[in-house]
Amino acid sequence: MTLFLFCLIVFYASCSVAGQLFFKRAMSEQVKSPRARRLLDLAAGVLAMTLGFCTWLALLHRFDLSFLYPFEGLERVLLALAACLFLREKMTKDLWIGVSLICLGTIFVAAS
Amino acid sequence: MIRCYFFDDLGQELVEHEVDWNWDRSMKEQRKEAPGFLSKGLANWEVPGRSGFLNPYLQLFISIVLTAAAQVFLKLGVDSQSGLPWYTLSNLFSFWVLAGVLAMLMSLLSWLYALKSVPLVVAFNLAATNHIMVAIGSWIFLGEEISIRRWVGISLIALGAGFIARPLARVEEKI
Repeated sequence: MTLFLFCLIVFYASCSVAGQLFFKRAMSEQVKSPRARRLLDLAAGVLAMTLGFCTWLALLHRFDLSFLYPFEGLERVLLALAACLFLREKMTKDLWIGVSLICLGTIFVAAS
Repeated sequence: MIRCYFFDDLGQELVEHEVDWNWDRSMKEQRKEAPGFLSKGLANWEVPGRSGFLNPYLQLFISIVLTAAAQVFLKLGVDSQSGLPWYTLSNLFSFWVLAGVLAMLMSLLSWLYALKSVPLVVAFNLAATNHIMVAIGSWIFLGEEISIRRWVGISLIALGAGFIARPLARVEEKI
């Protein structure tokens, strides 16, 4: 796997996480934001998800599903790291163990 | 009534509590109204059994299976266009790709329905089995050969996804 393809996988995971965060913000009942802002968030979510989906199809063209799908685990790692950076969530022991296992598993799959 | 289990203030003893349960309202709403510690994210709620197709755990299972099926469909769709370059838009209009998108949408509906009553932590933990299901699906329906090293990697990722479920559920509730 080349560096370019790995970057494409990370790009897909980032689009997916960004899409989820935009959707969450657009739909959240707790955040009181104007309607226009919610629509903008929704549009951004759809755009990010569409970009991610097209990237995923392009990647499926190139790789076996059993090879590619495990990289989807990186989404959770990115979401957890984004939460630590932007929401100031603490890195708990469970989070460290989970992130380490996913990274280790990803290395195993990439080397297979 | 719904049974709810939680640890006492010292975090040592498991206490059982019963609260009124309304199927037409979301679990999140009802948690907010629950007294004291029950309203916090760490209390473990047990959803009363609802038989048949509307059982939330059955819906969660359907959602997980549909997610795995969607991936297999997408791969079948992309493979059916193997003569064309990867960036071509005709990928999007293959029968299997459309079936994959439909399966994804149905999976999302089941997921959202299940989340009305199944705790996020439990849902995330069970969703971690997706990795195993997709691998089995690729092996059976796509004829992919999966090496021992890849199985080890997939199992580690599924295990990691299980560990990360609780902190992620907390983040989801916070966002």
